[in-house]
Amino acid sequence: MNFMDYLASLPANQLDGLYESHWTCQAVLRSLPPLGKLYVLRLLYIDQPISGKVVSDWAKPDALSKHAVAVERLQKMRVLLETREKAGKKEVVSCQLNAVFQRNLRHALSVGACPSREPASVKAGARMLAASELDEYADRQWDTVLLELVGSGGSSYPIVTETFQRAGLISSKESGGQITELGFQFLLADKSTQLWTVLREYVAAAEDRGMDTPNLIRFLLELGFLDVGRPYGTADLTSMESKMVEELALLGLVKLQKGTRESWFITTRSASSLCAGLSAESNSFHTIEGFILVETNFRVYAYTSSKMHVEILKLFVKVEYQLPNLVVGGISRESVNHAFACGITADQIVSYMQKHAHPKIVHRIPVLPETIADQVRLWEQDRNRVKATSAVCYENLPTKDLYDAVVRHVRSLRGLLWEQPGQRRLVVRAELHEEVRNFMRKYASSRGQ
Amino acid sequence: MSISAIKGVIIECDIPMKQYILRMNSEMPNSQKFVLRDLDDTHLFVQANMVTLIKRKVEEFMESNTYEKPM
Amino acid sequence: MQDKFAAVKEAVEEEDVEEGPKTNTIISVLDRLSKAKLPHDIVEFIRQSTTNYGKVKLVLQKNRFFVESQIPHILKRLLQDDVIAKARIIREEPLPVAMGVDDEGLNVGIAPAEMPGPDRELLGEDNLADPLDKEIHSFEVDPDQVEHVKQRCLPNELNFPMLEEYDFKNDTINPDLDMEIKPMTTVRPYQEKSLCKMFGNGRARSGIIVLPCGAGKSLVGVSAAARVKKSCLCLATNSVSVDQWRLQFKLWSTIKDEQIIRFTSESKEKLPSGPVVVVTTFNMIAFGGHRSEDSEKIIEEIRQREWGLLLMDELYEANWIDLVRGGFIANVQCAEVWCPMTKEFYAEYLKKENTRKRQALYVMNPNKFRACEFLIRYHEQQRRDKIIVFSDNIFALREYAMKLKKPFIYGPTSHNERTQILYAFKHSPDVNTIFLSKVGDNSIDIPEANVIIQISSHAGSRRQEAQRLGRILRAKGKPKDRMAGGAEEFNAFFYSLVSNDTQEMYYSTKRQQFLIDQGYSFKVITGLPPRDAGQDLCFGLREEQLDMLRKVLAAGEEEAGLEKLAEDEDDINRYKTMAYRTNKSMANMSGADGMMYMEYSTGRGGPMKGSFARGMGPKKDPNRQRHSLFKKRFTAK
Repeated sequence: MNFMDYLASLPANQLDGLYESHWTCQAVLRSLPPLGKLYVLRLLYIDQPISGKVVSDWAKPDALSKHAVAVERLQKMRVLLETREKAGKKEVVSCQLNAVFQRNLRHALSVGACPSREPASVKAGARMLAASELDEYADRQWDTVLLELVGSGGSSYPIVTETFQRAGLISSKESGGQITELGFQFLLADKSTQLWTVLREYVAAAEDRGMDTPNLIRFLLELGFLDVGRPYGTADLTSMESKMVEELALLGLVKLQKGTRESWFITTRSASSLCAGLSAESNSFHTIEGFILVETNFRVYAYTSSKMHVEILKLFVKVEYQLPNLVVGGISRESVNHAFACGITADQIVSYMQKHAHPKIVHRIPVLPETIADQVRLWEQDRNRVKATSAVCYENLPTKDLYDAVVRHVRSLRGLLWEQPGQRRLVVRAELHEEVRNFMRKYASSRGQ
Repeated sequence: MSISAIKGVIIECDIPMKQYILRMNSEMPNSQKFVLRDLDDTHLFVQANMVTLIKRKVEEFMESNTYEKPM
Repeated sequence: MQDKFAAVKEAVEEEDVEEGPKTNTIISVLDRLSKAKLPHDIVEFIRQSTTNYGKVKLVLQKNRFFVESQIPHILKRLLQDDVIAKARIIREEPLPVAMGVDDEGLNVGIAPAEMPGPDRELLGEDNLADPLDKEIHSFEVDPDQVEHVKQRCLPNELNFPMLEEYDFKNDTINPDLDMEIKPMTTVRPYQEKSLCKMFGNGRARSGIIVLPCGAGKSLVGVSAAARVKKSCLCLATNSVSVDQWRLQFKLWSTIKDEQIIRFTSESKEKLPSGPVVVVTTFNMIAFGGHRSEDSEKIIEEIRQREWGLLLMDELYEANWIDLVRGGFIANVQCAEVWCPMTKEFYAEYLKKENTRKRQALYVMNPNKFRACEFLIRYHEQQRRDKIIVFSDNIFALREYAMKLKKPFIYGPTSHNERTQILYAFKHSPDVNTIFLSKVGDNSIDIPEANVIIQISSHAGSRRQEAQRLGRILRAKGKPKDRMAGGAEEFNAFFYSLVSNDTQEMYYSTKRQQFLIDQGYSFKVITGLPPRDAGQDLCFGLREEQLDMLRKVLAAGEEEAGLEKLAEDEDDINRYKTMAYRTNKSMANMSGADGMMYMEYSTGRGGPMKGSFARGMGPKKDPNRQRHSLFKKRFTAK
């Protein structure tokens, strides 16, 4: 799931509402697969519906699947709308661009293509920031957020805590506000996934907080179009936008700069990645360099000075030495069992080590020694050797007909755990007991008539 | 014969593991035997209140077959 | 960090104790390796504990013992000690090698020049020995008192621990043995290095040469004997090993048949009067009980002789990564094959009354048998490999071998039959698999084997593991394919078959740790034989399995247990005494062990650290040339 999937999941009228902003239209356009982009531009200045056949004829014979993917995406995003009419026996399909989308995208391309905001002039006291400085800031802010998640479960900022809670990363206040299984899994996810998880909840929470959701999304998308590193004045912002800028600064999406009279905000790459790299294929905007070396002797060397990295490693590595820029430890059955107990899976551990592999070893195939990956998975399998399910065992069913009927019924409810037709014996999930009893009674009475 | 319905827990595991659990059951005093039905090579139907104990014993047993390098 | 420090220190000291005082070398190497500045008290500690090392030597010249030093006042200090002063011998007659006598009555001569060994370059220019001749001072001690003198010099007493050297070149009293290394013999660089350590200054130093099994210790031993050219007593671990040593002597050197004799319980050859090489076992020499008349005669002869060289063939753990990288020895894929117990075998295994038959039950596990049969078939037919199957459990050894119709060797197998089987295994294209019990662990030299399958092993013994690995470490195939980055990923295979959920699993996890520590990549294989390959293997039918189960249960405990060899007891004791040696090397402490990377291919060439060397070169498909059993089993979900 990413931002675009989220938009696609919105009700039609809400999504159409969002297309009232050309930022949304542009962001969606950028996110489309290449063929999708091409089709949008072909249709942009056509005002009548065209036959579905025309569109399907665009596809090259050797690119049918790409065509299908593009059209599906266009429809999912409600960019391309399809109408089907019965004309006699035949069904006629016609296509048209979403009118709102079309209007605003046209506008953006012809009139309002330039950013609506002008970067502040340097004279005013605002300062441009170098990419590296900004990346560092963004990583630091994000690390702080994550550290708060690991540490206390909560953040000193209510909005962050609330978002964590909404996302299920920490339990509710009543039940202690501790990090959950989902929270541990979240820690091991890559940064873009993390960022998106948090933002999605942030957007979802907006309505509860009395914020104008469409405008909030619009502004989020607009941030992605601003020049990274350039300061923009906060004076032009609406009150909601100012509030958002402050909150997004906590997450490292923007950095605030204060002068004597004015203040500015600067977007970071975390913000630009939100729209720029949003197409499903490329969500790897990795600003952090890999730092982990894992060897076949189960030793782990992590070249990092980030507290957050150390905290994450501690979930599944037994740390032995810690130097200012290096952590040395080992992976053992015990250490990964600790992670499993937190709800982390073998695949997550493996993928974390792969994704954060040190640049010196990222060219290896495979990046993570196979023996290590296998062993971590074998250890996981070991933990799941015994599967226990509460159940009811039914025996002595009088007839084969009844037995078969019960089995069919229970199976349709996905409640059949075990069956033995010869003995007319079956085991069913405990929660279906009432259901099965009623079914048998009904069956008996229907036969009894 | 009337239909009988027994409440309990179905345990699904591999072949050797089932043998281990059966062994555990046979070594229990009569009052604490927990296997209600021996279903097949990989399934057992047992008393619900013994599941925690079974799982703990299984874990201990697997632990005893593993060498942990002192770190 | 304490560990790391200990390892560095040990690594450096090991080199230096035998060569003399290199306190500064130790400190500078440590300094170079240390991330932070060396703490003052550590430097001080090293100085205190090492300054006196090697300052004094005990030299054997023409059957006389001399205490020697470049620093006369140290000798004076030693002579102030009563024991040493009493042991001193002052003679009127001229002294060997000595050039004169100094004011204090000490002999003065020139120190023999140190030959630069291959190690020097590592230590940097500053540490090279002063090339100028050095004056050397010495005094003679009474041969009967030598042990007392040595005692007095130990660190807890006078603290001038002595290095011992034998000036064999100037030994005109003991007759020379007429033997040379054959001109065609090439000594490999690491073997040369070992020899340099021994004969660095033209004298023989005693020392331990640590080379992995298969790296050619015997050639080093034979070369040493050829250099010293004096009578040589060679101690091996068992009688098979004795035969092996004798062969090696004849293979590498020009020694005459009558000058090399064996002394074992099976062959008691008479000692000729002249110089001789005697090959025997530790047991024959150390035996405390009643000996036969012949034995007694020979042992007495051995006692009476002056020996120029004592070779002791032992097994130590070593880090053989470098040897692998050079292509000298094989690149091994170690795998553990997990075999689930069958229902019936496991039910019996779990019964309390079968505690003593557990081993037989997990070794005879039909699933294990089938995995073994599958592996043998795979390697014989698909790769044309030579396979040795090891089993400590003789019941299993016989059952497996007979069922699979393969020759086997164990304790009771006669010497003749052993030799025949080994000959056939080496030379016949029809005999590609043999089964060996523990007797095969020591020195039976079978260079053709490149697959080892272990169906039962002795309680996770590392020594056994090292020996068995050694069987396949001799390099096979074309050298260019074997070198780092060559075509062959692995050219040798070491399988341990383990029955899951049994004690064996405990031993195996322990053993796994050893292999990992040695830098071997370790792979777990499950699901052997593959479903589609199982039909024509043995024990496919439950009935067959139950027959075997009955047989196992009916077998006496003695029969179903471990093999007890006459040499065992001694074996175990010796193992204990060497157990204090740490198996940690610098490389595995620092994580630089090269083999750890052997599974990978890198997409980038260029000079990287040695540890990345294996598998460099053009990007390649990781599954290319790969043993199909090792292809990725898990695919990401």
